[in-house]
Amino acid sequence: MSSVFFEIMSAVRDRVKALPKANNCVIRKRPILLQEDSLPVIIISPGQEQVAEEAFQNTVVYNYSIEISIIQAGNRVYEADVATLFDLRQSIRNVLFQPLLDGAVTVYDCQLETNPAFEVVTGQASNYDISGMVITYKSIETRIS
Amino acid sequence: MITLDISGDFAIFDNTEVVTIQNKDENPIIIENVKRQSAMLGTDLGGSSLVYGAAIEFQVWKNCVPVSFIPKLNARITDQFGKHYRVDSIEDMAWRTKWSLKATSEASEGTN
Repeated sequence: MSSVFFEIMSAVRDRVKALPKANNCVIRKRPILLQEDSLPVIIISPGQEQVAEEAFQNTVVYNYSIEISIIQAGNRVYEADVATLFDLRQSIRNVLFQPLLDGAVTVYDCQLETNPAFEVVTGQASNYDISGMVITYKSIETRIS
Repeated sequence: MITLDISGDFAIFDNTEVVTIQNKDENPIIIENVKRQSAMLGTDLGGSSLVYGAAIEFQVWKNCVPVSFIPKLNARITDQFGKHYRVDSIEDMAWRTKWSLKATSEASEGTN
């Protein structure tokens, strides 16, 4: 039996991978770019897991936060690829910000928080364009007593 | 009075290299006798993501570049191996006979 958290991450990955220009999409413990990665890459990683509501002693709503990180080469070319990134970001938002999620049957709603479209990057991160969003899925489950 | 000319100090180094530098919206120029300093490959945070890159330093002697050339921040450096870097800082040093260009490797390139 798979955990709900991982079911949600898998479903998110599958939806994102189906988008054009988003097939390099992976699940990782943390949003970390590896030297073996090719760019652009979209990293799906887990955030917090919280109890949102309880009812009738054995029904509980959990919130599962999923972080979606888009990492691509920027190389300090500040005028190019702006529209392209927004297209991809909006496409990802639209396929994920939906009440139901195939493969995660207990999910019934979600909330969306977006990070800056182009994160501030310094130091050794300064040649990357990084964008992200956090989607918190609500899952109704049975509390085992 | 004896004076010391340090404008050609690159001559005391072996393993100098030829690099290309291109300022934004300018033509690339080829520079000889560039001395590469040590490099460090490491990680840094961008937003909540951890990515990697190499910090490096190139010593460029002014008498090896056209008189009209001045390197600018964010200029692109291509080294002898074809790796690319972007200039982070420019220090006018050694009594203004050379520039120290500190740079970061382009995305997912690292260093040699």
